[in-house]
Amino acid sequence: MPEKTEQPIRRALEQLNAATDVTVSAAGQVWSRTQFRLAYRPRRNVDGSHFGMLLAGLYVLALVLWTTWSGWSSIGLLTIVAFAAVAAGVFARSISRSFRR
Amino acid sequence: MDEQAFRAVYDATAKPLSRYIVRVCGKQDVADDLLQECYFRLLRSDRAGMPLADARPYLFRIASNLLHDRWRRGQEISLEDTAEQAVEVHPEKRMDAERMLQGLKPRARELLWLAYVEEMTHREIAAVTGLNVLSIRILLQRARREAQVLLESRGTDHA
Repeated sequence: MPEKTEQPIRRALEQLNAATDVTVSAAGQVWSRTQFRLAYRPRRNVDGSHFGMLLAGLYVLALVLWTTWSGWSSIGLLTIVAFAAVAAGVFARSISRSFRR
Repeated sequence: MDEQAFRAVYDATAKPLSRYIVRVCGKQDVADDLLQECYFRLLRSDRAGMPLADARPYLFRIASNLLHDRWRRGQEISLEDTAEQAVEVHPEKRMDAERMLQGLKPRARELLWLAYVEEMTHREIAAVTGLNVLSIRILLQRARREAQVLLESRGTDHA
């Protein structure tokens, strides 16, 4: 588009920009509010959530192995229960964090 | 990012960003909320420590995304509120510009504002809007044509 036809648009928008009187909050205020929000709503812990999923997956795998193989001892049973408890704890924590947001 | 660095970024970008949001979204109260959200998202991101030259387009990109989220949710865009709040410089000409902007679709408003007020290149606009450079060229051309028609029709009304 030739420069000549662009000029009226440019001028119109520049005038509008000059005429737009905006009042913004002070930087300090925005900083305080933002810091409060950041403290109240911490960043999503993506790694933690992936770790929880991994543990849950491993638990299911271990459970399948344990039920399909008869050679497990009582130590094996204890291990699987302990593992399940840890996995459930981590998983529940990551779910509760997601719902809090 | 520490408070001093934040203040430098905020002081350099808050007013142009606010004007952009006000003119594209059309509501001062919504613009205030979106402005706060832009800086919150900047500080929350991994890129909070970026230099000012990079922070500016990044903030415009956040603002653009937030505006698009509003449009997707179907929240009404109007320029009536801003028309009353603007300072009277050249009332008639400002009204023409106001009417022109009001007659355009939000996407066209956004592109024209970034191109002519923020003086961004096609590449920078593409980065802000998430579109490719070729689309920007085509959409900007269309927006210019529409704006020109609106300005000329207003001129005819005056005559």
